[in-house]
Amino acid sequence: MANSSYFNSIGFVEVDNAGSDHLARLTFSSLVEGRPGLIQGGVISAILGRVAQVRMDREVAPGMTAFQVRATFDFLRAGKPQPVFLDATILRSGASSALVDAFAWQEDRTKSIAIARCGFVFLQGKPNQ
Amino acid sequence: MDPVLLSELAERFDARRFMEASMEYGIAGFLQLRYRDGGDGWAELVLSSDPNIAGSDGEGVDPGAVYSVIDLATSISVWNKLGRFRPHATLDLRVDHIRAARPDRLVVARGICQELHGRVAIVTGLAHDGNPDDPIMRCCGSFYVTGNS
Repeated sequence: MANSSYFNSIGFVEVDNAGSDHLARLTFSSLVEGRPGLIQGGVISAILGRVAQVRMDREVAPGMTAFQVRATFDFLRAGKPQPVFLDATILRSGASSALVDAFAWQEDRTKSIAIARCGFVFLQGKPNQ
Repeated sequence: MDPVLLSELAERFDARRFMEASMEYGIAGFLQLRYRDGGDGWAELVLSSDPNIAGSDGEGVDPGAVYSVIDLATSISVWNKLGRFRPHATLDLRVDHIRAARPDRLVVARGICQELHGRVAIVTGLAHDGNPDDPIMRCCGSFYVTGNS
């Protein structure tokens, strides 16, 4: 899937290195603040959904698009003014749908600041065409 | 945000003043969110279409940007119901994506505070790109009030 202007604008970067412990990260900047000094919950939700999408896009069958239809988010810790690291795991990927867990952390990979479970359906071609 | 304004809003919440101040920094400033309307327990914000927040493949506003608008609209619905500003943390959120926003459309997010009991607020919300009966996204979630109430 083509890159999104929105995620580029807020400092979301995909990581291509296979040896990396994260699939994407968000650079902290004033653009992602909700209350001053804290990353907005909506931004944390958005980057969790996005990293799940990145994971699906790498796994999806050729000619198909993984289209996100739902997500649930749980917030465990405040998003501090530091980089956020993100990873996602496919729980199940079937013929027509998939379920992906995504998680975000800051200093310690074992201490998630937020987690998400995202549902996808597979569509032929691109969703808007 | 200006501490004097915050203490005034903590006495008596005014969503328009809150949004004017919020537009000066952070994600609300980046997205240039505007307060459209609101009342007891509800609030509506508007997000203008902009190339910087477009989604993939020629879609309209990125759903990721809509999350931030829904987060803030539902938050303001809580303060509109409470009548006072109290900092709160998002506990959880569930979002259903119904369809992509159409290109070059404004997105409106409406937040509704359904319940406010003790420190927990339960909210629902929807986002649409012109017709509230044809939404692009629906959500429900909860907040935990962290400030003194």
